[in-house]
Amino acid sequence: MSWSWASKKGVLIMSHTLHRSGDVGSLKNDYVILSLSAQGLNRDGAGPKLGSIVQTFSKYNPVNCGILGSDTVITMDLPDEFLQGIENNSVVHAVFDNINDLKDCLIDLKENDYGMSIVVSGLFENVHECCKKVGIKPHTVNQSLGVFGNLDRLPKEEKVRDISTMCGHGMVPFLLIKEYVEKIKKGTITAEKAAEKITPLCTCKIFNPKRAAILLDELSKE
Amino acid sequence: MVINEERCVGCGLCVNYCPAHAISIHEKKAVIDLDLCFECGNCKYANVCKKDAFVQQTMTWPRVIRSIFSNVRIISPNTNLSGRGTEEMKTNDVTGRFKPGAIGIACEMGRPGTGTTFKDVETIAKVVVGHGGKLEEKNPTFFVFDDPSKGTIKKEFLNERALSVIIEALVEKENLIPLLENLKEAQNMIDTVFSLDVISVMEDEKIFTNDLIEKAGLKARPNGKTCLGLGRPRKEF
Repeated sequence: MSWSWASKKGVLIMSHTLHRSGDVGSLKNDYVILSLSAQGLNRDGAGPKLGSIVQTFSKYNPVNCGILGSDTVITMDLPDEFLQGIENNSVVHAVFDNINDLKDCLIDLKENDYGMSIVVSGLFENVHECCKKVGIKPHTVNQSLGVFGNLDRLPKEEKVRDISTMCGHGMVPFLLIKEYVEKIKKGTITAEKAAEKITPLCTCKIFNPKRAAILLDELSKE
Repeated sequence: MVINEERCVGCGLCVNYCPAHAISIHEKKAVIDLDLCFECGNCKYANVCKKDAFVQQTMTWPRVIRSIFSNVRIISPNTNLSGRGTEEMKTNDVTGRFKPGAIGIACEMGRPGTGTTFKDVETIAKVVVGHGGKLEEKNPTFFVFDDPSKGTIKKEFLNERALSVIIEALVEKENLIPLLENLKEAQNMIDTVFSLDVISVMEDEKIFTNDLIEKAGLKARPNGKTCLGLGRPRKEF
């Protein structure tokens, strides 16, 4: 198995799971969960806990799951050596395409009480309702107020933006999405295969390939 | 990033992998416009080039700032972290960085997918600090400011470009509405886009900033990020 870390020195963090655009109907199928330790507070010894957390993520049918900087998508079949490679400053991620899998995952995480910060991005109403059912009291929120400035710089097709913003670091360019839409229209690739090709560009593993395939298919029919 | 012309066969497969629109094909060879290039490395790391023709050149100062803010694999000199952000609210249950009633704001310049010059970053940063915004020192962006109390950026960076630069600050509750109103006006002074964040600790399971945002004539999106409060040791206020 070959994989490499983006950084051995620090973690890559920003609000990379915020600002996922789209209508409510589409966002109902898109929930990102991540976990990390806090520098200077609970980082020592965090690696094994984060390993257990990402294994927990993987149990509940994520459509994407992994560790920032690793090329490997986490599954339950991964050997222990891989999880031992998780460092105290690693950030682990997963994406669920429905609220029920997220709920089951949160029940598991709450029961095991790993003590690492857990963050969920998604529709507030659904996420907070889910927390209530599980017995979790949400702590802090980061709200998106949308996009400002010279909006002419953005593609007119909102669904192109919806796909691109699923990689918060901007590694899924608008032009590439449009290229794949044209290929789907011509029948040279399926929407599912195109989503599969795009997904690895997001090294954080927060891209939702199932949602992307639906959006690509819809774009190809516009 | 530059092209090894001996290896490049001009197939053009790489062109649309560039978020900066910096790659074009001339005389059967890929050409990178270095003024446009963010140095994000997406062209190289996407492994789209079958001839391995992308070469990361040695970047001189101040160009290296492009990669710090655009290449997810690069470490920032002032935070020793890769990426453009911080732990911000993700670990707030443990750090208490945002206290109850406090408001965090972030203007994510160039996002989504457009990129920004640091001149445009300065334009918006001046608005943020002009409303009492205290810039976050642990953010990589803090490094580019000449005078953080004014929001001015070091001259050598003004014409550089990056895929995304986050202006992150704490603002007083009473300053949020005028700040948001001024940001709406300032958006006409820049040639790029920015995504806007507002961070707060929930009170009685409610998001208290919603009312303030609406009073400023804005509306928060229905989706966002929630720190669940499962981190330990929990910060008590």
